[in-house]
Amino acid sequence: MTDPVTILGEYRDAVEGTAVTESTVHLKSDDLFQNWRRVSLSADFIARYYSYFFPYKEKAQEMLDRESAENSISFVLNELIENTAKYSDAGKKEVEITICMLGTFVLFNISNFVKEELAESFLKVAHEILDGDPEELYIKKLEKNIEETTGGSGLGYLTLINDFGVALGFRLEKMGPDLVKVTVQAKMKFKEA
Amino acid sequence: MELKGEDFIVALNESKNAVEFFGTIRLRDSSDYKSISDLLEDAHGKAAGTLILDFRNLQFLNSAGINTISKFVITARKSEKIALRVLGNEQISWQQKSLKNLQKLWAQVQIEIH
Repeated sequence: MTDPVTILGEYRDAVEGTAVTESTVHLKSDDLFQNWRRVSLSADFIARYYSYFFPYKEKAQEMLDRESAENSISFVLNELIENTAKYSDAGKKEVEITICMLGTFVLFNISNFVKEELAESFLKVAHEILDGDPEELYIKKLEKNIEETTGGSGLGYLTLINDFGVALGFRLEKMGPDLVKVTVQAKMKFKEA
Repeated sequence: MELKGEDFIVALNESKNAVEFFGTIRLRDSSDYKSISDLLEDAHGKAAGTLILDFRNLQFLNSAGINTISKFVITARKSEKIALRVLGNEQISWQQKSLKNLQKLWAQVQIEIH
């Protein structure tokens, strides 16, 4: 990384005062990694908490209902938090999850800290995902990786894009020598504009 | 044969020719999924005719798990030994969104989401 800040994909900076509601959760990647069920628990907690902003199915018109919102938010967050638990190798192993609800969509910002080398390979994966046709890429990767048992292929991100209609943005910021803050932003629409 | 995790059960029900999934499966990576893919391989070996993959009681499966199932579908397609039928629950949104993709890997997979 040569630039202090690199932004890829659809990434929005916070807009003061426009959110319906917003919260931030701080976790440690080591804790998540040591007991893996903490990842799922964190995703489920936030999803349930935010599901109360959505109406029951009977009342949900042109908008995600409560049960679907909870299941989808949990799925999306779980994937993003899993990545921070797996790929944090620098700094104080801090993970920050910000959930910002706007009029027609929710923005999830998930950040963690990595070394330069990991940041570079992450950038490559991000470029690959954003530059190609995500459906084609997903199938191609699956067919290709059939014999492989290693992760880090970006299939999780592709699932979010293809199946959950999520738009992804990536922001990498140099914070010091061999220290990069990675923020993945997922935009999930819940209502037609 | 049955696999029990802290939050899930995967059971091979030989009388129904079915692999049944219960709970939440969000394991770390494909090496953690090995026991589940072994069970699927085992079911594939024993099954005759149609093998059912029953997800109706599975609240969550993470992308690593979806990959495990997808790879199994590709393997089954290549061997052409049996047919596959996938059962899903329309009340569970990830199933509605992701299970249909299995048909992109093998057009003959029968998918029923109710």
